[in-house]
Amino acid sequence: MDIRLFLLLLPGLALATGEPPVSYAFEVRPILSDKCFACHGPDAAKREAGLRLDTADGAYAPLEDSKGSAITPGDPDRSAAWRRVTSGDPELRMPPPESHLTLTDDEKGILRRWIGEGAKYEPHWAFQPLPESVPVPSVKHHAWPREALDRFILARLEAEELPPSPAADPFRWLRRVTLDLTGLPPTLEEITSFQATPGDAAAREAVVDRLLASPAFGEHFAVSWLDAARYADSYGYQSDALTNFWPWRDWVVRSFNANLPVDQFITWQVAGDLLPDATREQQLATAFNRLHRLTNEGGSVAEEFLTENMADRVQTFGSVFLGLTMECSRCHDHKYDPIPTRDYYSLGAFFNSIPERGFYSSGAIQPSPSLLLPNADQEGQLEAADQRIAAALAAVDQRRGNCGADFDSWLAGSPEAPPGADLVSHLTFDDEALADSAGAPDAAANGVARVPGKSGKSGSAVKFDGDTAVNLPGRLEYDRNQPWTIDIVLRDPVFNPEPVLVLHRSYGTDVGYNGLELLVAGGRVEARVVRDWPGNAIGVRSRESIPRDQWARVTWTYDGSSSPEGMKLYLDGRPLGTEVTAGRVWKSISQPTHGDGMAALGQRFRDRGFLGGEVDDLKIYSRALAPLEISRPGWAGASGDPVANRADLMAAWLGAVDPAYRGALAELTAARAARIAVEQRISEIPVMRETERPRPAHVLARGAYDAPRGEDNEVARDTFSDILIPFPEDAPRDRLGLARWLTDPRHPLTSRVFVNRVWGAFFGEGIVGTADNFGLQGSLPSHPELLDWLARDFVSNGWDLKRLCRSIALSATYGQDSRMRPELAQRDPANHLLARGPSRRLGAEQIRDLALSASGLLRPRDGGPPVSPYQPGGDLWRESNGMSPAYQRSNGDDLHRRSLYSVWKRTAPLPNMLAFDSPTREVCTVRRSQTNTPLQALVLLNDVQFIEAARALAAKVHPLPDDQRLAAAFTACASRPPTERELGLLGELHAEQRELFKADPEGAKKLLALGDSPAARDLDPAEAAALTVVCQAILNLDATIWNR
Amino acid sequence: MNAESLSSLTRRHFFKAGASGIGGAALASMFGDLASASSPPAFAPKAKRIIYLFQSGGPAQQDLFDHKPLLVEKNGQPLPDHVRGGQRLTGMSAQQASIPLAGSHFKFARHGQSGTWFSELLPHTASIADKLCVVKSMFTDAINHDPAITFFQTGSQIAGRPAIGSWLSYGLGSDNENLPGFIVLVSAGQGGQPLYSRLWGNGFLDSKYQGVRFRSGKDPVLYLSNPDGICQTGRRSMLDKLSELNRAQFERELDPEIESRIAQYEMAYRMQTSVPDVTDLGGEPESVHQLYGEDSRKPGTFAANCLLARRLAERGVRFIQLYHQGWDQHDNLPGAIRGQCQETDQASAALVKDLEQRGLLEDTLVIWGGEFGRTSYSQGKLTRENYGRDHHPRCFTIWMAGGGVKPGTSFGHTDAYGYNIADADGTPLHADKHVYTPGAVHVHDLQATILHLMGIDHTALTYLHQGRRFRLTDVHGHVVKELLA
Repeated sequence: MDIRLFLLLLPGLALATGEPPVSYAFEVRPILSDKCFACHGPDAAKREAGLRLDTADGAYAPLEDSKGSAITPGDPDRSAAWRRVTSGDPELRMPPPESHLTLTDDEKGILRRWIGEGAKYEPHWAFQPLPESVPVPSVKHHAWPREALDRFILARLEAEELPPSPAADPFRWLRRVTLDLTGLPPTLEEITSFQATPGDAAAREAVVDRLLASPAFGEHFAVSWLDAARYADSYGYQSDALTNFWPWRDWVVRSFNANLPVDQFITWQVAGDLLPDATREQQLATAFNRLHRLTNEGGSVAEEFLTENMADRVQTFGSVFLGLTMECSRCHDHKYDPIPTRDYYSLGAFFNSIPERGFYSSGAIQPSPSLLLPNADQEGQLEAADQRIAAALAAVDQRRGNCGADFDSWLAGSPEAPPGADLVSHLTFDDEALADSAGAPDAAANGVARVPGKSGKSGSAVKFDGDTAVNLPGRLEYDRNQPWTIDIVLRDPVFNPEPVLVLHRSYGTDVGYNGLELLVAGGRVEARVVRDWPGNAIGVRSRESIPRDQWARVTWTYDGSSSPEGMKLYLDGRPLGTEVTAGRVWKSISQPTHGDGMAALGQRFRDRGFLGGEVDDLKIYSRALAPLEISRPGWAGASGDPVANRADLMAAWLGAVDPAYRGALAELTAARAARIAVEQRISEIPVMRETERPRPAHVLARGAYDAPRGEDNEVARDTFSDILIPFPEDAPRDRLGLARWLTDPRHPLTSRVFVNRVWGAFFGEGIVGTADNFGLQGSLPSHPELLDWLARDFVSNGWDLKRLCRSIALSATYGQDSRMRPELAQRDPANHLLARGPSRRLGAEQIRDLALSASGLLRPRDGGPPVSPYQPGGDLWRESNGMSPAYQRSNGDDLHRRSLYSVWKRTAPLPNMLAFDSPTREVCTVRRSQTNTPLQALVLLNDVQFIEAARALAAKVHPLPDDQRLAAAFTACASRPPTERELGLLGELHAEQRELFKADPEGAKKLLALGDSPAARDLDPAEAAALTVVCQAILNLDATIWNR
Repeated sequence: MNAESLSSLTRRHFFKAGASGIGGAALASMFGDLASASSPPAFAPKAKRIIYLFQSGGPAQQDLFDHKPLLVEKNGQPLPDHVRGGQRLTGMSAQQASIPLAGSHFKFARHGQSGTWFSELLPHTASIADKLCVVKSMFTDAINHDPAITFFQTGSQIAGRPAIGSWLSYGLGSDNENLPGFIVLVSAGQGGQPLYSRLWGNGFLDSKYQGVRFRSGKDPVLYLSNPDGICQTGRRSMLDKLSELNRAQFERELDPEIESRIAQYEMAYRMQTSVPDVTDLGGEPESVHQLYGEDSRKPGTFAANCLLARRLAERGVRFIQLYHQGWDQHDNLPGAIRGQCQETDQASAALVKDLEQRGLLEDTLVIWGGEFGRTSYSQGKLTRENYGRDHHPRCFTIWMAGGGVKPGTSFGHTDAYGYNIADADGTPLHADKHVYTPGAVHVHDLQATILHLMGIDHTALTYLHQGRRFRLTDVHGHVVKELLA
């Protein structure tokens, strides 16, 4: 690409040489894309008059509705497009008036010249593979460049005949590089020690290397990645309960500090779970795709939110890694970029196949699939618990193996079933009180009808209306360590194909129940033990149906093993073949979330009840009965033929009679309970875990979750093969293959997009100004060769982030003075050409961190759960959201952690952060805006956080000699000594304030009492208060809150 | 180069860089820039400001506005399948074994010369029947609160889009340089369905277009008050020096952003006076409190907020957004809705009367309504004394007054079951947002109409974000001409 072409794009820049040909990529397409493609572009459904102008074939083709073609290369006057854009007739003129778009005369001129010059099309720059190598331009001013990247900047400036700015003074450079690499200002010691060096290349390198090695580097770089990944500490919809995502945040910090190569940083987040022998860190990284908002609003439709989750993942993937906006393509073919709807859903198909339900059920339960993150202590406790379980299992096995003699002596006696062994509840529904013959509390009918049951006149059954339950107090209050048997005689005349609830003991609502449940769907029985369906649960379903509208005895035994193999179903005493519907469960299944958790028959809060169903008899045992006990109640006749039935009899005898075996089982149950207790304390985070088979994916008409799905609109997993590089042939069609495609060294977008964002972290804006959009509507790179060179250099050197940061930080370009020069104010006010150094306001986190750091309040500590700093007003979380958890302000050191660790509540973010343009983190944000409002002034002037910082800064400088205090406070914030004039003004302010506070000692006391950190003792209150106000003024200075 | 010309140069530059949509108006800031910064509207605005009385939770139209004797007649009978027409229910009543029709327990009567129907729950609103434009054929896309209220306030169920008030601030600027152009008031201590800062968020627009929430009590705006121990004299002395220090910095850096920062500190200082002035209702005469009701003496109530809204309107605040929670009556509706009406009816009507008395009604648009309606069938058990209603997006009622809407009008119909939008004969219209259906008013149609009343073509108020021109009404919306005066 010819560098001269870009000059045209900048206002006020004229070309010295003769007119070069018009560039399609840099001049024509921006016009066509913005003004024409919406109706004559990639979206086939909305294409007017069948004409597309985004391809040469389309533009040169004969028109459908009139003679000629839209564009006749070389001949504007024979091009219908030219005639239409210049037409005086509003009916004919393009763009049409109702589009509210117009072409300027300049734009028309470009189009005419382009057609005249042959109307050549070129592919979009950002979709071209990354070049193998990029030549570094030669420059005249050899001494200026310090890094290769400087030569690209300088070559351009030399073409413009603009000299670069002089190097920034050492104070300015040190402050800039320290803030940009760590988010914190240099300390007074760091400033002094840098001043003592010659300030040459070696000294600068030493500073940059020190900063890159500082843990604050990762903390600072994490912030923008958290924005991009829409990281937050709450779910974001309705009640907005708190998440447990912070271990992922800490992983990001660790990865940046460890300089994890960025291709791996990306791969782990996209597909860490699919890596061979995935480590815990690799699995943890995949939380990236689970950080999106999630609802627990009652009445939500699961499929709708599963679709939203998928869409959010696609949108985030597109914006963060590809710099492409995907959301348009959800409903229709993209109007600007060649991304048809089909490609959108093909990409979405990589993200739709994890065992998720689409909701979270409660803040107490992590939505599945999820990963346990035990710390070292807990690892030890788990190991101990597992050893105890293993020992208990061995004891059970051992007893089974050595019980022969005792069993034989029992057989030799009078071998009979012990009456009612471990029967804890028996309901026959024969009397109105619903009395329990096994001694459990009476059931409560709640008006459920009693009808004649199986045994006719004498026996009654209950018949359900689907909306009313028979409550079973005091029963099945078990966790998953406890075995049980549920034996129920029922009749289902309806055979609803959707699962209906027969019996449960669970907490929860329609967005998720935890507990145990027995369901029937179209006659097939399903038994579940659930913490979070379907990823954290076990379940089995019968392969055959119970008979319709006939009495059937269904038995469910569970052995407390937390494995689907430990669950058996029987029909009329005969084992049923089953299939596994869920296979893994951890933590408690008795987690109080909503409701009283009481067992019930026939209905559950907002669930589908057993409409029309009847139950005649219900027995509950506190043990998994042996098959014989189920097939022959009372073991009828079995002991008559002890040889043939020996094994069955022994199993029944062991469980029902043998004290040694029963003792061993009791220990096993206790050992399993201990493991649950350990798990309950362990941090857990949602991650990606692929289902065995991919879920089918479909193109959804208009993006609607309930659009028809069928064979004709089903799509396979794929990437944008038409515009980018092909999916690697030998890669699996899963997220791991997707990550390989993404990190292919030739990939046109991944490295360019990433490098551009890093550039933006130093210069305020990327080489492509629209860091979130590299598509046809995105802005063009100011230095395209530089972007390509940086990306190629980055990829060729192992995707090394710190190396890239180092070369930028040490460059002459970055090291320039940032002061505005009059000729630049005219020619390049936005500093696209970088003839001066960068300057911008600090981000929200940096402003607070600077105040904490300069005042000495900052408490450095790595990671951990979010902390809750000062909030103004009442409880901002609950003031208009009674469903939200309450805000519980932190105390002590946690009030003064880096802002990265402050709790982020999506529906009620910290107001002092929001005022300084923090995004809400509800959706992916790649670029923050930078505004300037009176609310920002109010925050810095009146927020207790900043007043406390001012007070602490005052106390910090107070011990210094009188004439050094103000300068020291100023330097702590602005990282340079004040000028004489500045010092004079501060001195005047100090004197004024001292007089005021001398006259108002009460006021001084009140001011000094603000904030939790202890006030310095032995200071004269008037003096301390006056100094505090001066420090407040310093904290409000442009010199403090801007990085120049 | 002096500061002024530098500043104007940079300003021109940003103007060009940010030019999109209706252009110059995009530069209008939250404060100041006054109307002069705004480009002339597409057509003469009828309304200069809006007071939106949002009734969060979804008021039951069958018990307030939409008189359906058939429901009383068929009370307890199941909703016929042909009426429901396969429409989705929420997960709360979808599993219910039966869905019995529930007739309203409240008496309806016609009021005013217009003969508009109201139930006995709204005597005060009924008394201004001839000033109201009641729309009975609203419909929306969403069936759950969070997506539905987000859709109503931002035009999208997905988070991250600007609120209506932010769009208007962006498009029209502010008429008061001492107060924000978009102010939010939430009734205190209501409970009910949550509200989120997203609903008055700026989305992808600059954060200066964010709605500013006013609270009752000492600090009506967060961080407004000086810290304890700092008096106004002390603050002034500090701000003066701060300003001089920043000016010294400007002289060195020549960055016009510094000048703008100096100005923002002055505005913040002015707000410290102007906000307490406007939020202090103490000077309102007894007659006004009688008009708005006893509640108006209690800070933070809906009535007090209505009165405050009038004061803000008088001072030229462009968009005043009230929220009143608690209309989500899934069960125990008859008792609960009576309480809600007692909290809102008198003050809502008083606001309209008060604005009219002050000559403000003609250019102030008042809107009253929730995020969706409620079902004609009972959620949960229907008994003689009690019923509940689930969410219903297919038809519901709102009302508007003043600001260029047609007074004494009742627009739109529903079928005899109050379940579907219908024509005047009760034949369902099958309203669809993708195809404009005269007689039915989609949320985007309402938004288009609101913007129209403010003098803005809803298809022209756009913002270029990530390569796409976004608008409040997405690709939908029609101005409902029948509602215009």
